[in-house]
Amino acid sequence: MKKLFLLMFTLILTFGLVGCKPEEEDPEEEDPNVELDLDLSSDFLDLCTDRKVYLTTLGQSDIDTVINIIEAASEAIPVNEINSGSEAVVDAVSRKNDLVASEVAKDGDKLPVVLLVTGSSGKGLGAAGTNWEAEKARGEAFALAADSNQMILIVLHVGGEARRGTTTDPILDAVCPSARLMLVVEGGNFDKYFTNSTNEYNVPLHLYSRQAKMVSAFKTLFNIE
Amino acid sequence: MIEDMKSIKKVSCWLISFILLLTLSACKQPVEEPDNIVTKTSYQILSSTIYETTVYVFASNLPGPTIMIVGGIHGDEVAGWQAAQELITKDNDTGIVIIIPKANYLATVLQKRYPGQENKGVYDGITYSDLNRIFPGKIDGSVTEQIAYALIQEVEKYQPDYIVDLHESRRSYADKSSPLIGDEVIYGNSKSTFFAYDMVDLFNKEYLELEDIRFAVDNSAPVGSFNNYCGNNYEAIVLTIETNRQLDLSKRIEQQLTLIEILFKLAKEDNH
Repeated sequence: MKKLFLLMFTLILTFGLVGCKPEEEDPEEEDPNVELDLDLSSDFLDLCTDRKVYLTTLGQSDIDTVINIIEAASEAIPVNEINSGSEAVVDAVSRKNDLVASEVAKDGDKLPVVLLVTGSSGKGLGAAGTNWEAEKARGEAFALAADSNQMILIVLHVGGEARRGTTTDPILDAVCPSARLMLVVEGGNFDKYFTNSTNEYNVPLHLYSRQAKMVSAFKTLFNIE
Repeated sequence: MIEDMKSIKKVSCWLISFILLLTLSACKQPVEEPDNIVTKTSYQILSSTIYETTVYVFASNLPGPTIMIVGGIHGDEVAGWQAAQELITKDNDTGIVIIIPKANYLATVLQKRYPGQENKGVYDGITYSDLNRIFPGKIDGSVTEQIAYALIQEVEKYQPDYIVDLHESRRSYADKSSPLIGDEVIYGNSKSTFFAYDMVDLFNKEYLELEDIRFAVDNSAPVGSFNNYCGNNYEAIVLTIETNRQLDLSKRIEQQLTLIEILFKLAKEDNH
């Protein structure tokens, strides 16, 4: 009788456990170098406050997306268009699509920050009457200025794989080594370009799963609660 | 001895029932959702004219977003309106779905951007122009302006949460010599930005073949286009899908349908 009871008990338990077995998920390959959506460290807190912040595009694409990201972080940080002759102001982001390094002005002892939106659009370049070689030259001038401690560069790439390639990568090669920080939506790192850059140039890289996740980075940079 | 056997039997019965009960409660069954009953209606706009066209409305008893899909604003961008035409056979979505497959009906029949495209806009004695440059149109304007006006009246009527305009381009954005806007999703206002990127990211990651051109996000809808007008005048998420006409028609239709499927999926998640 005891044997019968034990047998039944084991059978029921086994069937029960098998029935409750959760559906197996395919284990995804994990890349130890990629950690998504991490908060910026305290080193970057306030990096963009109380100083002039400029926004430009190297490749003439995705700058409006970055403006939307900044606006989503805070409407208290207006993004103003600056044209030749007009000045950038503190506590705002000054946008100019064809900004050149010599237009970036120091404000007392505080170095200005330049947000470089990378990723080339053939149509955008054509509409702006420029080409990727000229954009690269603009990028090189920013890099040179950053290397000689005249400004801080933050490299942004939000357009994913579509905004990488032969008209974008040379521009990235020019600016990434001189950047203080790289903020990238993961699709743009499909070939580990940015992961390799961070290892090679020791520039911090933050990868985001979606454009909307990058909002948190700007909250840190502008110290927004 | 018999009494002992009886009590063992009793205890074991209780124990088995208890274990069975525990096991069953652990295997929690999902809560059954009510059936999705979709009511399909259709009606004509611009009635009794040669550009009369049909509006299809799918209204579910279950809550969900209101999504408007417009195809055929340009008649030669065939994959867009053929995909929209295919969508009217589907009736499994929640919320309200409004589909106007052949917005510029005569242009779709002629498979031209607009009637009379190669004859200074004159077709059969009537002057037409590019419908996608004159939104919001006018009730008493030219024929093309009247079509635009009628379409905007449908937007006004339903106040959709999502507006999708299906188009095509002659070349890809990735064309090195002369890039256009093929293989792109174009957003119409800042509210639509993140949604457009999420949609394209998912499409690129999960649906494209390795050799396919990745889709890109853009925001350059021209003034007077349906996208630009709706983006600036409504609270909706406004998107234009632009497939690349250098690909096979069947592939382009498949891409349009897949992007719309992703849109429905993300819209239902409603986390934007």
